[in-house]
Amino acid sequence: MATGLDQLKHIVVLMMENRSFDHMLGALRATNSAIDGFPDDWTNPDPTGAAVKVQPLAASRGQLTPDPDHHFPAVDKQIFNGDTSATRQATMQGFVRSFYDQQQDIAHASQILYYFTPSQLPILTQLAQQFVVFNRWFASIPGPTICNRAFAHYGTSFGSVSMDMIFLGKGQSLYQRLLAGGHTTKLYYFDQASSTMEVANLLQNQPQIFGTYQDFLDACTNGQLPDYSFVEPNYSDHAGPTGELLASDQHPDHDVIEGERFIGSIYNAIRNNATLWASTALLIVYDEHGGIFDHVPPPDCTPDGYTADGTATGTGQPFAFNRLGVRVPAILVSPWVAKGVDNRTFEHASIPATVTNFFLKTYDQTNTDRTPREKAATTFLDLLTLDTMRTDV
Amino acid sequence: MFPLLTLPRRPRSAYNPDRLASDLIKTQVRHAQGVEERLPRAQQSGMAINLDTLTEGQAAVYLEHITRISHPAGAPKAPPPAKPRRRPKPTRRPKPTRRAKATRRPAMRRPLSRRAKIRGSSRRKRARRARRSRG
Repeated sequence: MATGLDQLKHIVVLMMENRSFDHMLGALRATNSAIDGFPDDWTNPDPTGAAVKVQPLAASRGQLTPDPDHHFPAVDKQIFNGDTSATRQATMQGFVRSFYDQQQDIAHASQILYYFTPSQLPILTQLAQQFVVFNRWFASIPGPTICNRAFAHYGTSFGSVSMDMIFLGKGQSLYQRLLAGGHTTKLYYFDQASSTMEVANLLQNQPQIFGTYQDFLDACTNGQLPDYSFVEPNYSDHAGPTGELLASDQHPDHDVIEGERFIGSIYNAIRNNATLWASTALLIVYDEHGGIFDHVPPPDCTPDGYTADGTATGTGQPFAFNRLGVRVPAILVSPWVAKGVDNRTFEHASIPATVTNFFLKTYDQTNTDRTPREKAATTFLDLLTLDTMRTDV
Repeated sequence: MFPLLTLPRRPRSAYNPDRLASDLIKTQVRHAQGVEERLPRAQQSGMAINLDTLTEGQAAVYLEHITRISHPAGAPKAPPPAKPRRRPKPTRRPKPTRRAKATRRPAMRRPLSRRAKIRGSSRRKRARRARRSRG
Protein backbone atom coordinates (compact mmCIF):
# COMPACT_ATOMS: atom_id res chain seq x y z
CA MET A 1 0.00 0.00 0.00
CA ALA A 2 1.25 3.50 -0.80
CA THR A 3 2.44 5.55 2.16
CA GLY A 4 -0.37 8.06 1.70
CA LEU A 5 -2.99 5.35 1.98
CA ASP A 6 -1.26 3.98 5.08
CA GLN A 7 -1.55 7.41 6.65
CA LEU A 8 -5.13 8.04 5.57
CA LYS A 9 -7.62 8.22 8.43
CA HIS A 10 -10.22 10.73 7.27
CA ILE A 11 -12.17 11.35 4.08
CA VAL A 12 -14.01 14.66 3.77
CA VAL A 13 -16.46 15.40 0.94
CA LEU A 14 -17.63 18.96 0.35
CA MET A 15 -20.53 19.07 -2.10
CA MET A 16 -21.36 22.45 -3.63
CA GLU A 17 -24.33 23.39 -5.81
CA ASN A 18 -25.16 23.75 -9.48
CA ARG A 19 -22.12 24.78 -11.51
CA SER A 20 -20.62 22.99 -14.49
CA PHE A 21 -16.99 22.07 -15.10
CA ASP A 22 -16.49 24.37 -18.07
CA HIS A 23 -18.17 27.31 -16.31
CA MET A 24 -15.85 27.10 -13.28
CA LEU A 25 -12.64 25.38 -14.41
CA GLY A 26 -12.79 25.35 -18.21
CA ALA A 27 -10.61 28.46 -18.62
CA LEU A 28 -7.69 26.70 -16.91
CA ARG A 29 -7.08 24.86 -20.16
CA ALA A 30 -5.38 28.00 -21.47
CA THR A 31 -2.53 27.56 -18.99
CA ASN A 32 -2.69 23.77 -18.53
CA SER A 33 -3.73 21.86 -21.62
CA ALA A 34 -4.23 18.69 -19.55
CA ILE A 35 -7.35 20.26 -18.04
CA ASP A 36 -10.20 19.44 -20.39
CA GLY A 37 -11.87 22.83 -20.67
CA PHE A 38 -14.03 23.92 -23.62
CA PRO A 39 -12.36 24.45 -27.00
CA ASP A 40 -11.69 28.13 -27.78
CA ASP A 41 -14.26 28.15 -30.57
CA TRP A 42 -17.02 26.33 -28.67
CA THR A 43 -20.50 27.54 -29.58
CA ASN A 44 -24.16 26.67 -29.13
CA PRO A 45 -26.92 27.68 -31.52
CA ASP A 46 -29.55 30.17 -30.40
CA PRO A 47 -33.21 29.59 -31.41
CA THR A 48 -32.57 31.26 -34.79
CA GLY A 49 -29.67 28.91 -35.47
CA ALA A 50 -27.01 31.59 -35.06
CA ALA A 51 -23.87 30.46 -33.25
CA VAL A 52 -23.35 31.88 -29.76
CA LYS A 53 -19.77 31.73 -28.51
CA VAL A 54 -18.48 30.99 -25.01
CA GLN A 55 -17.23 34.16 -23.32
CA PRO A 56 -15.25 35.01 -20.16
CA LEU A 57 -18.02 37.23 -18.87
CA ALA A 58 -19.44 35.27 -15.93
CA ALA A 59 -20.29 37.54 -13.01
CA SER A 60 -20.27 36.41 -9.41
CA ARG A 61 -24.02 37.09 -9.30
CA GLY A 62 -26.82 38.75 -11.24
CA GLN A 63 -26.73 36.84 -14.52
CA LEU A 64 -28.28 33.44 -13.92
CA THR A 65 -31.78 34.63 -13.13
CA PRO A 66 -34.17 33.00 -13.29
CA ASP A 67 -32.41 29.89 -12.07
CA PRO A 68 -31.50 27.96 -15.25
CA ASP A 69 -33.76 24.95 -15.61
CA HIS A 70 -32.02 21.71 -14.69
CA HIS A 71 -34.92 19.33 -14.29
CA PHE A 72 -34.79 16.16 -16.34
CA PRO A 73 -36.54 17.40 -19.55
CA ALA A 74 -34.45 20.61 -19.68
CA VAL A 75 -31.19 18.73 -19.18
CA ASP A 76 -32.25 16.29 -21.88
CA LYS A 77 -32.65 19.27 -24.22
CA GLN A 78 -29.29 20.72 -23.18
CA ILE A 79 -27.53 17.44 -23.96
CA PHE A 80 -29.40 16.41 -27.11
CA ASN A 81 -30.51 19.84 -28.38
CA GLY A 82 -34.13 18.74 -28.53
CA ASP A 83 -33.52 15.58 -30.57
CA THR A 84 -35.79 12.81 -29.29
CA SER A 85 -35.10 10.26 -32.01
CA ALA A 86 -33.93 6.74 -31.22
CA THR A 87 -30.58 7.39 -32.87
CA ARG A 88 -29.83 10.73 -31.23
CA GLN A 89 -26.33 11.66 -30.17
CA ALA A 90 -25.31 13.77 -27.18
CA THR A 91 -23.97 17.00 -28.70
CA MET A 92 -24.11 19.46 -25.73
CA GLN A 93 -25.61 21.98 -28.16
CA GLY A 94 -28.87 22.80 -26.40
CA PHE A 95 -27.86 25.05 -23.48
CA VAL A 96 -28.76 28.40 -25.06
CA ARG A 97 -32.06 27.09 -26.41
CA SER A 98 -32.95 25.60 -23.03
CA PHE A 99 -32.24 28.87 -21.18
CA TYR A 100 -34.10 30.77 -23.91
CA ASP A 101 -37.23 28.75 -23.07
CA GLN A 102 -37.41 30.56 -19.73
CA GLN A 103 -37.43 34.19 -20.92
CA GLN A 104 -37.55 34.15 -24.74
CA ASP A 105 -34.63 36.58 -24.80
CA ILE A 106 -31.62 35.60 -26.90
CA ALA A 107 -29.19 38.04 -25.26
CA HIS A 108 -30.20 36.80 -21.83
CA ALA A 109 -30.04 33.14 -22.92
CA SER A 110 -26.51 33.64 -24.27
CA GLN A 111 -25.26 34.20 -20.72
CA ILE A 112 -25.52 30.46 -20.12
CA LEU A 113 -22.25 30.19 -22.10
CA TYR A 114 -20.36 32.63 -19.85
CA TYR A 115 -17.44 31.26 -17.88
CA PHE A 116 -15.18 32.44 -15.05
CA THR A 117 -11.55 33.38 -15.53
CA PRO A 118 -9.09 31.83 -13.05
CA SER A 119 -8.48 35.16 -11.32
CA GLN A 120 -12.18 35.41 -10.47
CA LEU A 121 -12.07 32.12 -8.55
CA PRO A 122 -8.77 32.28 -6.66
CA ILE A 123 -9.54 29.44 -4.23
CA LEU A 124 -10.81 26.87 -6.72
CA THR A 125 -8.03 27.83 -9.13
CA GLN A 126 -5.24 27.38 -6.56
CA LEU A 127 -6.61 24.01 -5.51
CA ALA A 128 -7.00 22.90 -9.13
CA GLN A 129 -3.43 23.95 -9.92
CA GLN A 130 -1.93 22.24 -6.88
CA PHE A 131 -3.88 18.99 -6.60
CA VAL A 132 -5.88 16.60 -8.82
CA VAL A 133 -8.59 17.84 -11.20
CA PHE A 134 -11.05 15.19 -12.32
CA ASN A 135 -11.60 15.74 -16.04
CA ARG A 136 -14.49 13.29 -16.10
CA TRP A 137 -16.54 13.64 -12.93
CA PHE A 138 -20.21 13.66 -13.95
CA ALA A 139 -23.44 14.19 -12.06
CA SER A 140 -25.09 10.83 -11.48
CA ILE A 141 -28.35 11.81 -13.18
CA PRO A 142 -29.14 14.36 -15.93
CA GLY A 143 -31.44 16.07 -13.45
CA PRO A 144 -31.70 18.22 -10.32
CA THR A 145 -30.16 18.33 -6.86
CA ILE A 146 -31.93 15.91 -4.56
CA CYS A 147 -31.70 12.79 -6.72
CA ASN A 148 -28.05 13.56 -7.49
CA ARG A 149 -27.13 14.08 -3.85
CA ALA A 150 -28.83 10.77 -3.08
CA PHE A 151 -26.12 8.99 -5.05
CA ALA A 152 -23.52 10.46 -2.70
CA HIS A 153 -25.42 9.27 0.37
CA TYR A 154 -26.89 5.95 -0.84
CA GLY A 155 -25.19 5.04 -4.11
CA THR A 156 -28.59 5.29 -5.81
CA SER A 157 -31.65 7.56 -5.98
CA PHE A 158 -34.00 4.57 -5.73
CA GLY A 159 -35.46 5.31 -9.15
CA SER A 160 -36.01 9.05 -8.71
CA VAL A 161 -34.98 11.67 -11.27
CA SER A 162 -36.59 14.57 -9.42
CA MET A 163 -36.53 16.66 -6.26
CA ASP A 164 -39.46 14.90 -4.66
CA MET A 165 -37.97 11.84 -3.17
CA ILE A 166 -38.68 10.47 0.22
CA PHE A 167 -36.98 7.14 0.54
CA LEU A 168 -37.42 6.21 4.16
CA GLY A 169 -36.53 2.60 4.72
CA LYS A 170 -35.63 1.94 1.09
CA GLY A 171 -31.96 1.28 1.69
CA GLN A 172 -28.97 1.81 3.93
CA SER A 173 -27.18 5.10 3.78
CA LEU A 174 -23.41 5.24 3.71
CA TYR A 175 -23.55 6.63 7.26
CA GLN A 176 -25.50 3.63 8.55
CA ARG A 177 -22.98 1.28 6.95
CA LEU A 178 -20.09 3.05 8.60
CA LEU A 179 -21.67 3.21 12.04
CA ALA A 180 -22.60 -0.47 11.85
CA GLY A 181 -18.99 -1.20 10.93
CA GLY A 182 -17.68 0.59 14.01
CA HIS A 183 -16.59 3.75 12.22
CA THR A 184 -17.32 7.37 12.97
CA THR A 185 -19.12 9.63 10.52
CA LYS A 186 -20.90 12.97 10.39
CA LEU A 187 -22.97 14.92 7.91
CA TYR A 188 -22.28 18.58 8.66
CA TYR A 189 -24.91 21.14 7.63
CA PHE A 190 -24.15 24.85 7.88
CA ASP A 191 -26.61 25.85 10.60
CA GLN A 192 -30.18 25.11 11.61
CA ALA A 193 -31.61 27.90 9.44
CA SER A 194 -29.83 26.55 6.36
CA SER A 195 -30.56 22.97 7.48
CA THR A 196 -29.72 20.01 5.30
CA MET A 197 -30.95 18.61 2.01
CA GLU A 198 -31.51 15.40 3.96
CA VAL A 199 -34.14 17.00 6.21
CA ALA A 200 -36.86 14.49 5.35
CA ASN A 201 -34.71 11.41 5.13
CA LEU A 202 -31.68 11.19 7.35
CA LEU A 203 -32.18 14.12 9.72
CA GLN A 204 -35.47 13.03 11.25
CA ASN A 205 -34.36 9.41 11.55
CA GLN A 206 -30.68 9.54 12.34
CA PRO A 207 -30.03 12.92 13.98
CA GLN A 208 -26.96 11.49 15.71
CA ILE A 209 -25.01 11.54 12.44
CA PHE A 210 -25.46 15.30 12.03
CA GLY A 211 -23.32 18.22 13.05
CA THR A 212 -22.98 21.85 12.04
CA TYR A 213 -20.26 23.74 10.20
CA GLN A 214 -19.05 25.08 13.54
CA ASP A 215 -18.85 21.49 14.83
CA PHE A 216 -16.72 20.65 11.78
CA LEU A 217 -14.35 23.52 12.48
CA ASP A 218 -14.13 22.52 16.16
CA ALA A 219 -13.49 18.88 15.23
CA CYS A 220 -10.64 19.95 12.95
CA THR A 221 -9.11 22.12 15.65
CA ASN A 222 -9.45 19.47 18.35
CA GLY A 223 -8.33 16.57 16.17
CA GLN A 224 -11.71 14.87 16.52
CA LEU A 225 -12.77 14.66 12.90
CA PRO A 226 -14.73 11.46 12.17
CA ASP A 227 -13.51 8.86 9.71
CA TYR A 228 -15.93 10.14 7.09
CA SER A 229 -17.41 13.66 6.87
CA PHE A 230 -19.83 15.10 4.36
CA VAL A 231 -20.13 18.90 4.41
CA GLU A 232 -23.04 20.97 3.11
CA PRO A 233 -22.71 24.72 2.45
CA ASN A 234 -25.11 27.47 3.55
CA TYR A 235 -28.15 27.39 1.26
CA SER A 236 -29.68 30.78 2.06
CA ASP A 237 -29.05 34.38 3.03
CA HIS A 238 -30.30 34.69 6.59
CA ALA A 239 -29.64 36.38 9.88
CA GLY A 240 -27.41 34.45 12.28
CA PRO A 241 -26.31 34.99 15.85
CA THR A 242 -23.23 36.80 14.62
CA GLY A 243 -24.95 38.89 11.97
CA GLU A 244 -25.78 38.52 8.29
CA LEU A 245 -24.92 35.12 6.81
CA LEU A 246 -24.51 34.78 3.06
CA ALA A 247 -25.42 31.67 1.11
CA SER A 248 -22.20 29.85 0.27
CA ASP A 249 -23.54 27.05 -1.93
CA GLN A 250 -22.87 28.87 -5.25
CA HIS A 251 -26.36 27.91 -6.43
CA PRO A 252 -27.41 30.57 -8.96
CA ASP A 253 -27.90 33.40 -8.22
CA HIS A 254 -25.92 33.23 -4.97
CA ASP A 255 -22.59 35.01 -5.05
CA VAL A 256 -19.84 32.58 -6.02
CA ILE A 257 -17.28 34.50 -3.96
CA GLU A 258 -18.94 33.50 -0.70
CA GLY A 259 -18.73 29.91 -1.94
CA GLU A 260 -15.04 30.42 -2.63
CA ARG A 261 -14.65 31.60 0.95
CA PHE A 262 -16.49 28.53 2.20
CA ILE A 263 -14.34 26.12 0.20
CA GLY A 264 -11.23 27.92 1.42
CA SER A 265 -12.40 27.73 5.04
CA ILE A 266 -12.90 23.96 4.84
CA TYR A 267 -9.45 23.54 3.31
CA ASN A 268 -7.86 25.86 5.90
CA ALA A 269 -9.55 24.06 8.80
CA ILE A 270 -7.93 20.78 7.71
CA ARG A 271 -4.65 22.35 6.70
CA ASN A 272 -4.26 24.22 9.96
CA ASN A 273 -3.92 20.98 11.92
CA ALA A 274 -0.71 19.30 10.78
CA THR A 275 -1.75 15.84 11.98
CA LEU A 276 -5.10 16.11 10.24
CA TRP A 277 -3.59 17.44 7.04
CA ALA A 278 -1.29 14.43 6.82
CA SER A 279 -4.13 11.96 7.31
CA THR A 280 -7.04 13.47 5.34
CA ALA A 281 -8.28 13.38 1.75
CA LEU A 282 -10.64 16.21 0.82
CA LEU A 283 -12.92 15.90 -2.21
CA ILE A 284 -14.54 19.11 -3.46
CA VAL A 285 -17.35 18.33 -5.89
CA TYR A 286 -20.57 19.89 -7.24
CA ASP A 287 -23.88 18.04 -7.19
CA GLU A 288 -24.94 18.94 -10.75
CA HIS A 289 -24.34 21.49 -13.48
CA GLY A 290 -27.35 23.74 -12.77
CA GLY A 291 -28.29 24.09 -16.45
CA ILE A 292 -24.95 25.75 -17.27
CA PHE A 293 -22.94 24.74 -20.34
CA ASP A 294 -20.36 22.00 -20.62
CA HIS A 295 -18.86 20.54 -23.77
CA VAL A 296 -18.26 16.88 -22.78
CA PRO A 297 -21.12 14.47 -23.58
CA PRO A 298 -22.08 12.36 -20.56
CA PRO A 299 -21.17 8.69 -21.06
CA ASP A 300 -23.22 5.56 -20.48
CA CYS A 301 -22.94 3.87 -17.11
CA THR A 302 -23.90 0.69 -15.31
CA PRO A 303 -27.66 0.79 -14.60
CA ASP A 304 -28.64 0.58 -10.94
CA GLY A 305 -31.65 -1.66 -11.43
CA TYR A 306 -34.30 1.08 -11.44
CA THR A 307 -36.32 2.66 -14.23
CA ALA A 308 -38.12 6.02 -14.14
CA ASP A 309 -41.16 5.98 -16.41
CA GLY A 310 -41.96 8.60 -19.05
CA THR A 311 -44.22 10.53 -16.70
CA ALA A 312 -41.56 10.74 -14.02
CA THR A 313 -38.91 11.92 -16.47
CA GLY A 314 -41.26 14.47 -18.04
CA THR A 315 -40.03 13.57 -21.53
CA GLY A 316 -42.47 10.80 -22.27
CA GLN A 317 -39.52 8.44 -22.47
CA PRO A 318 -38.42 6.12 -19.65
CA PHE A 319 -34.95 6.42 -18.18
CA ALA A 320 -33.02 3.32 -17.08
CA PHE A 321 -30.28 5.14 -15.15
CA ASN A 322 -27.82 3.99 -17.76
CA ARG A 323 -26.40 7.42 -18.64
CA LEU A 324 -24.71 10.01 -16.44
CA GLY A 325 -25.55 13.68 -16.00
CA VAL A 326 -23.52 16.72 -17.08
CA ARG A 327 -19.90 17.09 -15.99
CA VAL A 328 -19.18 18.99 -12.77
CA PRO A 329 -16.04 20.41 -11.14
CA ALA A 330 -14.26 17.98 -8.82
CA ILE A 331 -10.86 18.28 -7.13
CA LEU A 332 -9.08 15.85 -4.80
CA VAL A 333 -6.89 17.54 -2.19
CA SER A 334 -4.24 15.72 -0.18
CA PRO A 335 -0.53 16.13 0.47
CA TRP A 336 -0.17 12.58 -0.87
CA VAL A 337 -1.41 13.28 -4.42
CA ALA A 338 0.72 14.58 -7.26
CA LYS A 339 -0.72 17.65 -8.94
CA GLY A 340 -2.34 16.90 -12.25
CA VAL A 341 -5.51 15.52 -13.77
CA ASP A 342 -7.38 12.24 -13.78
CA ASN A 343 -9.15 11.18 -16.98
CA ARG A 344 -11.17 8.21 -15.73
CA THR A 345 -14.97 8.47 -15.40
CA PHE A 346 -16.36 9.23 -11.94
CA GLU A 347 -19.81 10.08 -10.65
CA HIS A 348 -21.38 10.61 -7.23
CA ALA A 349 -21.75 6.86 -6.62
CA SER A 350 -17.95 6.93 -6.59
CA ILE A 351 -18.23 8.54 -3.14
CA PRO A 352 -19.94 5.70 -1.23
CA ALA A 353 -17.98 3.23 -3.35
CA THR A 354 -14.66 4.78 -2.30
CA VAL A 355 -15.57 5.26 1.35
CA THR A 356 -17.05 1.77 1.70
CA ASN A 357 -14.16 0.07 -0.06
CA PHE A 358 -11.65 1.89 2.12
CA PHE A 359 -13.24 1.65 5.56
CA LEU A 360 -15.37 -1.49 5.15
CA LYS A 361 -13.24 -3.71 2.98
CA THR A 362 -15.34 -6.84 3.44
CA TYR A 363 -18.74 -5.11 3.34
CA ASP A 364 -20.10 -7.04 0.37
CA GLN A 365 -19.27 -10.36 1.99
CA THR A 366 -22.05 -9.84 4.52
CA ASN A 367 -24.31 -7.26 2.86
CA THR A 368 -26.26 -7.17 -0.37
CA ASP A 369 -27.62 -3.62 -0.40
CA ARG A 370 -25.06 -1.96 -2.66
CA THR A 371 -26.38 -1.38 -6.18
CA PRO A 372 -24.53 -2.65 -9.26
CA ARG A 373 -24.03 1.02 -10.11
CA GLU A 374 -22.15 1.74 -6.91
CA LYS A 375 -20.12 -1.46 -7.11
CA ALA A 376 -19.06 -0.52 -10.64
CA ALA A 377 -18.21 3.10 -9.79
CA THR A 378 -14.56 4.12 -10.06
CA THR A 379 -12.93 4.89 -6.72
CA PHE A 380 -10.40 7.67 -6.20
CA LEU A 381 -8.07 6.87 -3.32
CA ASP A 382 -5.57 5.20 -5.66
CA LEU A 383 -4.53 8.78 -6.46
CA LEU A 384 -2.71 8.96 -3.14
CA THR A 385 0.39 7.56 -4.75
CA LEU A 386 3.26 9.53 -3.28
CA ASP A 387 5.75 7.84 -0.97
CA THR A 388 6.57 11.05 0.82
CA MET A 389 4.24 13.81 1.83
CA ARG A 390 4.38 16.96 -0.26
CA THR A 391 5.84 19.98 1.44
CA ASP A 392 5.44 22.33 -1.51
CA VAL A 393 1.79 23.02 -0.80
CA MET B 1 2.83 25.13 9.83
CA PHE B 2 1.68 24.98 6.22
CA PRO B 3 0.55 28.11 4.49
CA LEU B 4 -3.19 28.69 4.48
CA LEU B 5 -5.32 30.01 1.65
CA THR B 6 -6.10 33.71 1.77
CA LEU B 7 -9.84 34.04 1.52
CA PRO B 8 -11.32 36.67 -0.79
CA ARG B 9 -13.22 39.52 0.80
CA ARG B 10 -16.82 38.78 1.79
CA PRO B 11 -19.26 40.17 -0.82
CA ARG B 12 -21.43 41.88 1.82
CA SER B 13 -23.55 43.75 -0.73
CA ALA B 14 -24.83 40.37 -1.96
CA TYR B 15 -26.82 39.82 1.23
CA ASN B 16 -30.50 39.61 0.31
CA PRO B 17 -32.75 37.55 2.59
CA ASP B 18 -35.72 38.96 0.64
CA ARG B 19 -34.59 37.10 -2.48
CA LEU B 20 -37.31 34.68 -3.62
CA ALA B 21 -36.48 31.13 -2.63
CA SER B 22 -35.13 28.90 -5.40
CA ASP B 23 -36.71 25.58 -6.34
CA LEU B 24 -34.05 23.95 -4.21
CA ILE B 25 -35.06 25.82 -1.05
CA LYS B 26 -38.75 25.35 -1.81
CA THR B 27 -38.14 21.61 -2.07
CA GLN B 28 -36.29 21.66 1.22
CA VAL B 29 -39.24 23.49 2.81
CA ARG B 30 -41.72 21.00 1.32
CA HIS B 31 -39.69 18.14 2.78
CA ALA B 32 -39.62 19.93 6.13
CA GLN B 33 -43.40 20.35 5.95
CA GLY B 34 -43.64 16.58 5.55
CA VAL B 35 -41.59 16.22 8.72
CA GLU B 36 -43.75 18.78 10.53
CA GLU B 37 -46.96 16.92 9.71
CA ARG B 38 -45.72 14.03 11.81
CA LEU B 39 -44.85 16.21 14.78
CA PRO B 40 -47.14 16.58 17.81
CA ARG B 41 -49.30 19.69 17.51
CA ALA B 42 -47.41 21.45 20.28
CA GLN B 43 -44.19 21.23 18.28
CA GLN B 44 -45.68 22.42 15.01
CA SER B 45 -44.66 25.87 13.85
CA GLY B 46 -48.09 27.26 13.03
CA MET B 47 -46.39 29.17 10.22
CA ALA B 48 -48.36 29.63 7.01
CA ILE B 49 -45.98 29.09 4.11
CA ASN B 50 -46.79 30.46 0.67
CA LEU B 51 -44.25 28.85 -1.65
CA ASP B 52 -45.03 31.36 -4.42
CA THR B 53 -43.84 34.31 -2.37
CA LEU B 54 -41.44 32.54 -0.01
CA THR B 55 -38.19 34.43 0.55
CA GLU B 56 -34.88 32.95 1.65
CA GLY B 57 -35.18 34.71 5.00
CA GLN B 58 -38.65 33.29 5.63
CA ALA B 59 -37.54 29.80 4.58
CA ALA B 60 -34.62 30.06 6.99
CA VAL B 61 -36.92 30.88 9.92
CA TYR B 62 -39.15 27.90 9.13
CA LEU B 63 -36.30 25.46 8.50
CA GLU B 64 -34.65 26.53 11.73
CA HIS B 65 -37.83 25.64 13.63
CA ILE B 66 -38.06 22.15 12.12
CA THR B 67 -34.34 21.45 12.31
CA ARG B 68 -34.18 22.54 15.95
CA ILE B 69 -36.79 19.90 16.79
CA SER B 70 -35.13 17.14 14.76
CA HIS B 71 -31.61 18.03 15.80
CA PRO B 72 -31.48 20.16 18.96
CA ALA B 73 -27.75 19.56 19.20
CA GLY B 74 -27.32 21.83 16.20
CA ALA B 75 -28.37 24.92 18.13
CA PRO B 76 -25.75 27.65 18.10
CA LYS B 77 -23.43 27.26 21.03
CA ALA B 78 -23.95 29.86 23.72
CA PRO B 79 -21.05 32.27 23.83
CA PRO B 80 -18.77 31.73 26.84
CA PRO B 81 -20.01 33.59 29.94
CA ALA B 82 -18.71 37.09 30.07
CA LYS B 83 -16.00 37.66 32.68
CA PRO B 84 -17.14 39.90 35.57
CA ARG B 85 -16.06 43.43 34.88
CA ARG B 86 -13.32 44.63 37.17
CA ARG B 87 -13.41 48.12 38.50
CA PRO B 88 -10.72 49.98 36.68
CA LYS B 89 -7.71 50.58 38.85
CA PRO B 90 -7.13 54.21 39.68
CA THR B 91 -4.51 55.46 37.40
CA ARG B 92 -1.31 56.32 39.12
CA ARG B 93 1.01 58.85 37.90
CA PRO B 94 4.31 57.25 37.03
CA LYS B 95 7.05 58.05 39.51
CA PRO B 96 9.10 60.84 38.14
CA THR B 97 12.53 59.82 37.11
CA ARG B 98 15.58 61.57 38.41
CA ARG B 99 15.88 63.43 35.18
CA ALA B 100 12.27 64.41 35.28
CA LYS B 101 12.69 65.58 38.88
CA ALA B 102 15.62 67.69 37.87
CA THR B 103 13.71 69.34 35.10
CA ARG B 104 10.44 69.56 36.99
CA ARG B 105 9.03 72.98 37.17
CA PRO B 106 8.74 74.20 40.74
CA ALA B 107 5.19 74.27 42.03
CA MET B 108 3.52 77.57 41.58
CA ARG B 109 3.55 79.41 44.87
CA ARG B 110 1.45 82.35 45.65
CA PRO B 111 3.26 85.57 46.39
CA LEU B 112 4.32 85.86 50.04
CA SER B 113 2.16 88.85 50.76
CA ARG B 114 -0.96 86.99 49.58
CA ARG B 115 -0.04 83.90 51.63
CA ALA B 116 0.34 85.96 54.75
CA LYS B 117 -2.93 87.67 54.12
CA ILE B 118 -4.78 84.43 53.74
CA ARG B 119 -3.05 82.89 56.71
CA GLY B 120 -3.91 85.96 58.75
CA SER B 121 -7.47 85.90 57.61
CA SER B 122 -7.97 82.30 58.70
CA ARG B 123 -6.42 83.08 62.07
CA ARG B 124 -8.85 85.89 62.53
CA LYS B 125 -11.77 83.63 61.61
CA ARG B 126 -10.68 80.99 64.11
CA ALA B 127 -10.35 83.60 66.83
CA ARG B 128 -13.79 84.93 66.06
CA ARG B 129 -15.30 81.43 66.20
CA ALA B 130 -13.58 80.80 69.55
CA ARG B 131 -14.95 83.99 71.01
CA ARG B 132 -18.47 83.13 69.85
CA SER B 133 -18.31 79.68 71.36
CA ARG B 134 -17.06 81.04 74.65
CA GLY B 135 -19.63 83.80 74.75
